[in-house]
Amino acid sequence: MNSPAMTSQSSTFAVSVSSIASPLRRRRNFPVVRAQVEPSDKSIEIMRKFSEQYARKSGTYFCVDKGVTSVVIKGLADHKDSLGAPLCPCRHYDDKAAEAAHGFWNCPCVPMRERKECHCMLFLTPDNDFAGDEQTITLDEIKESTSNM
Amino acid sequence: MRLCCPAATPVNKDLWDNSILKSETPVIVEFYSNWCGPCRMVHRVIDEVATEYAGRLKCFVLNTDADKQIAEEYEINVVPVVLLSKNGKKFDVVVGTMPKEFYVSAIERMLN
Repeated sequence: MNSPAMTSQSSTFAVSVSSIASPLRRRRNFPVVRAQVEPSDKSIEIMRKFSEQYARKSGTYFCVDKGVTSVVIKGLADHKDSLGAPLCPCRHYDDKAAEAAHGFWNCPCVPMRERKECHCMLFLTPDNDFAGDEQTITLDEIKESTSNM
Repeated sequence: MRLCCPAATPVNKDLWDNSILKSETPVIVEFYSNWCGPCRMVHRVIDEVATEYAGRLKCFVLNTDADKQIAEEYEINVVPVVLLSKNGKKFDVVVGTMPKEFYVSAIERMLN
């Protein structure tokens, strides 16, 4: 687990990372390699719309680099396709299915809902150095900025 | 855009001992996952650092989706994480996404 002592965070630049440990951690010794496949258009569109709505609702903004926003939206869509829930794509899980069922890190995650902390940089408060000034993103923007992945 | 120069090298569990733990040169490793948006920003920084510190520092990236074993050994539960290591020992860990200067000053501390 990430204890506070391990982190070098400070400064106003820091994107908050919750140190709350997953209760679902368990050891697995077999590597699981999954090819990166494109999420479905349907899920991308659902997560795109959700992101726009939640940014407005929470008074947060997309990253000044919308490539970041695009990749995260696709990551949420990928998890929605594979797990049935938009599990945060910016964490590492021993057991993704168990985490998705647990719900803590399903977007919008508990730290986001409670403290507007999104270390995935999908929803940034205006005072964050990486925040842009937009709360909208088009499907074309998402496709274009992720076309070289 | 420079096309010629050293960028961060992928590392995995099979290469970990030789590339990281037995490296005579200080190393940094960025842990990332497939669909982590901010990891792409940190990638760019690590690539730049690889060029700027060529010969003095080795830069690696590790995909936690592909290498669960190393991710678990190092207790990675959030990405991106940048590990700084010297003489086979952890020197510092930077969790989350920081501006380039933040990584550079951590690297300078390790090299000096």
